[in-house]
Amino acid sequence: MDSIGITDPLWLTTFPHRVAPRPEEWLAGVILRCDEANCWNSGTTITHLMRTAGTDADLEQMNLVLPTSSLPLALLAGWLAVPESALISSTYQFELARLYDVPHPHTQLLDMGFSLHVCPLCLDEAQMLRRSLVLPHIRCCPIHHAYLQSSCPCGRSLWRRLFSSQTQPFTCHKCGLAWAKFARQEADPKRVALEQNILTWYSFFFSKGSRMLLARALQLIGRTMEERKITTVKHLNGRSLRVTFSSPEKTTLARLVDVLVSLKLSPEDLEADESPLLWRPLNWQTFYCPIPTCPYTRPDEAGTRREVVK
Amino acid sequence: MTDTPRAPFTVQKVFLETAFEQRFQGILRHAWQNRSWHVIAAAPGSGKSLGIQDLVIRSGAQKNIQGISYLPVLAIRAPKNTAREQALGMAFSAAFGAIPSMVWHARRIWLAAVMAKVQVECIIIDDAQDLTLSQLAFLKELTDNLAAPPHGRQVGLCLVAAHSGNVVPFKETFANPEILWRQFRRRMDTERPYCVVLGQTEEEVRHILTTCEEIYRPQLPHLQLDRWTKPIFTWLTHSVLDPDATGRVTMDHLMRLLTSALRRAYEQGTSDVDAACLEAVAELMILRRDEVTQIDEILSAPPPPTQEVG
Repeated sequence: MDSIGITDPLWLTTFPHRVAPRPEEWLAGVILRCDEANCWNSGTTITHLMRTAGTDADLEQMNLVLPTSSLPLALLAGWLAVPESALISSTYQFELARLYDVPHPHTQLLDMGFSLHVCPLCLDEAQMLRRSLVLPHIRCCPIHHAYLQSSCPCGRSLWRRLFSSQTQPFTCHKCGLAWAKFARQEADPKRVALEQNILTWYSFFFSKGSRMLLARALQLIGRTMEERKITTVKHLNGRSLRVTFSSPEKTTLARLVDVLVSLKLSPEDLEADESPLLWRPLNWQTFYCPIPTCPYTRPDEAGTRREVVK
Repeated sequence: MTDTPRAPFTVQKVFLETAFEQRFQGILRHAWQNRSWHVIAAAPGSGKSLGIQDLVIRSGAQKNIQGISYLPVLAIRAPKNTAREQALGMAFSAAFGAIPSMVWHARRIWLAAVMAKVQVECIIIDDAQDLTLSQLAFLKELTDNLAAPPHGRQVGLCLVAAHSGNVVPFKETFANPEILWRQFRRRMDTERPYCVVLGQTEEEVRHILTTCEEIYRPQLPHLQLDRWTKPIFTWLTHSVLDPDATGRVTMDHLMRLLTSALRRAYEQGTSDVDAACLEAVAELMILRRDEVTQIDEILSAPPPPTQEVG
C-alpha cells in the first residue's frame, strides 16, 4: 500500500513513518531506516518487535540474514503496511530455502562467521546497507570498489553493535560518528575482481539454485581436482587445505563458493558440465545371485545366494 | 402477490456543512493558515467534534511508503480523569499510529521531533475544558520546543471547548499574573483570542431542513420539511433546550428531532412527516425529556432480514 490516508484504519496500526525495503537492501538496514524515519534511537524498532512478540533473544545475536521464527517479521510488516514477503526478500531466506530445498534453512548453511561491516559510500548516498555485503568473503563494495569498514575511526568495532539504544541509527555507539563518515579506502582492483567472481557464484546459486545444482557443483569440484591431480586447494583466506565435502544438503554455501572460486571455475563451467550425476541407492538392497557357487554372495536357508550392499 | 416487508428506517450518517460548521471551520482554518492561537467555544452538541473530524479528513494527512508522512492538522481529544501531563503526551502520540513504549522524558522530546517531521501546522484539542493546568503548561513547552531550533516551526493552536452561559473557558486562567499564563496569553491571537461560535439561526435551520429533504427522500418520497421551520425553531429554542437563551439551535437537538420524527413517520407507513408527529417528538424532548421509563418487557426490535438460500 503506497499511501495511507487518515481515514484508513491502518493509520492507527502503522508506525508514524513507514519504510519499505529497497531492492537488494538488507533487513537490518530497513529496521535502522525505520528507527531513523521515526526519530527513534537505534534499535527501538527491533526492541519493540521483540517485546511485542514476547521474545527475549539477544538483539545482537539475532540473525538478520537468515532470520528464525523468533523474529516475527509479520508483525513488523503490519506496522509498516508492507507485505511480509517484501521483508523476507531483504534476507536470504527465500534463496537458501530454494537452494537447499528446506523451508527453514539453518543459518550455518550460509554463515561462515558473520561480521558487520559497512560501505560508507552506500550510506552516504542513500543510507543503504546492501544484503550482499554481509555474505561471507565479501570485503569490498561491488558498487563503489571501496573496502568495507568494520570499525569507527575512534577505534570502536561495529561487531555486535548494529543496534545501540543510546545512539542514533547508523552511528558509532561510542563517539556518535555517522557510519557514512567512516574511512573511505579504495579497494585493490585484484580484490574487486576476485569478489566479483565470488558474487557471481552467489548470484548464480541464489537465482538458479537447487539441491541438484549443489550436487553438480560438488561433482564438478571432484572431477576438476581429479583432472588437475590435486587434493588440496588454496582457499580464499590463503590457506591450503584438503577439500572434502559431505552431501549437498550439508555443504555450506560459503565454503562451496570458496572452493569454486579458488579452483577458478565459473558458473558457465557448471552449466556446460553434462556428465551424469553420481548416484547411489537410498536404502539397503539385497542382490540375489542364481549361481550356487558365486564367491561374492552367501547362501541363505533356501539355498539362494545373496549379499546385502549399500 | 405478497406484501414485501419494508426495510427498517436508516439514519443517514453524513456531515452537513451547515452555517455553524462554516463559522467554526472558518476560525479553525484561520488558526491553521496564520499559525494563530485561539480558544474556541460553542454550546454542547453544536457539531464541534464533527467539524474537527471533517477538517482533519480533508487536511491531506497521509503516510507514504517512502518514509514521508504528512499530518498538517493534529487533532486530539483532551484526556479525561487524569491531571498528568503524560496523559496529554500519550494522546498526542496515539494520533500518529503505533508507537513503541518510551520513558516520559524521551517521549516529550520525541513528540516535538515527530511533530516537526510530519509537518504539523495546527494543533486542535477538542474538549479542551478538561485540560488541567499541568497539561496546558506541557502544551506550551511542546509548542515552544517546536518553535525553537532545530525545528523552527510555529504552529497554530485551537483549544476547542464546550461552554454555557457567558463564561468563556480559559479566559480567567490566562488572565492570571503568573509568568506561565502571561506567556500563554501573549501567544494568543491579537484580534480573536477567544471565540464563541453561535448555533443555527432560523434561516440556517431552513437550509438544513431543505438538505435533509434530499437526503431522506429515498425513504420518504413526499418529504417537505422546510414548511416546518418556524415551529421546529421555536421548539428547539425553548428554555429547556436553550438554557442560555441564545436564540440559536444546536445541530444535535435538530437532528434528534428530525430523525425521531422521520423514523416515526416511516414506521407508520407514511411518505412525509406531519405536524402531530413533529410535535410529539418535540414534546418528548422538551416536556418529557427527563421522564423515567420503566421497562418490564423485551423491546421489540425488527429481526434481521432473512433470505432463502438454495
